[in-house]
Amino acid sequence: MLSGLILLFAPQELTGKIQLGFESIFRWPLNLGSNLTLTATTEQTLGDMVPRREFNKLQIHISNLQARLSQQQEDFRKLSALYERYDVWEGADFALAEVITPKVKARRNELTIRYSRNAPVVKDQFVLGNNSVIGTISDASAGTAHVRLFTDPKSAIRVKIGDLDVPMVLMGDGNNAARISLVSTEHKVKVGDIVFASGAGTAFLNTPMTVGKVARCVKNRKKPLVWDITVTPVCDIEKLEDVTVIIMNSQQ
Amino acid sequence: MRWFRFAVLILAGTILQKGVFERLHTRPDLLLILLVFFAVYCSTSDAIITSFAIGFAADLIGSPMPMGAHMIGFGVFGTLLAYLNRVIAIKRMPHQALAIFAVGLLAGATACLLARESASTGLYSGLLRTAVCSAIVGPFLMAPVAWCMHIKMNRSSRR
Repeated sequence: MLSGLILLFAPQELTGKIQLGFESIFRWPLNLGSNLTLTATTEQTLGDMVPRREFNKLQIHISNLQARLSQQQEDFRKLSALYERYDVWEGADFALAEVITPKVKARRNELTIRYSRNAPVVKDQFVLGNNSVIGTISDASAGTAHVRLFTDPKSAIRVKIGDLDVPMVLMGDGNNAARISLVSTEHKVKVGDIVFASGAGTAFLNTPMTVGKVARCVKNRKKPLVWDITVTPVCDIEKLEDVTVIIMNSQQ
Repeated sequence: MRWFRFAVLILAGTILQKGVFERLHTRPDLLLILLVFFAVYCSTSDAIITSFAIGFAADLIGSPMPMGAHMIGFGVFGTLLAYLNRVIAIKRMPHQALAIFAVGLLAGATACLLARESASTGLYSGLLRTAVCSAIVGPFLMAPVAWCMHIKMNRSSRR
């Protein structure tokens, strides 16, 4: 009785420490018991459970979604970079496409690409690879398209060389290169000059974009007053994994 | 009286009370049940000692209530019950249930008064729930406790 009275009138800070000391010494069994009770009293409805097979299927689905999310985040990053780089373009849009099969060393120089079905890809749109024009869409259907490379013999793109304000036509030779003819020798052209797709005469490009560079510039044998210019691509088209289609607003 | 077994039993009861039953809304008071057991089946002197010891154990796990309140409450009413057992044998289960219920209410109320707990409906309903639950469960735990303590329950002699 005396002990009880002493404890009752003792400062609560002191008696509180005694209580805490007991709980600290027996922390493990107290915790164990508490967890057991919590588990037993928590309602676990069968509706929250799924069979193991279903669980595995869902796990795989989650992995697929995560991979798709990473891919889309990567695509978004690329598109954002394009928009930032080409912010001078008004009304231009870009569609990312994956290269399925390249045909660079064959008789016909073309790529087969796969793009999102929602993208309005049509014939004659310009295609970029590594920030340079590599060709135009030759046909497109249901998410797949052919890209006629500018090195293809059937390709003809209006270009200009450097700062020269002279209309020229770049025509492919089927040998991973293209030629520009009928350029007067009055104009200074040298090896290494950058060749731009001018976008003249087409609604699919409204700003100059790099196509290639001058690899060879000699006077034409039959017509010495004109240059015989050979242009090669600035990027390794054969190693491209993805390309970008330029979609101008006028087509939407 | 086997005091070591008593100590182990009280420790186990304290840990169970605090660890397992604490999360339940309506729970029996194991220490109260042990108090009544020892008051009924031990000698009066042993019953007094055990009552205060059990009260001390109840104080250890009684936070935020200050220590000392349960010790006095359990000690006083445990002692009274031990003396009452000398007059009226409390061997049958209904009597034991009634004893648990009464001691639970009285000891609990005393502890709250000594601890100056603010009187509220929640406080009294909690005391009542615990007393009722202990009274229902308690008589069934007497036999296992007697087995642990090696005390024969069929002794009719009064001490």
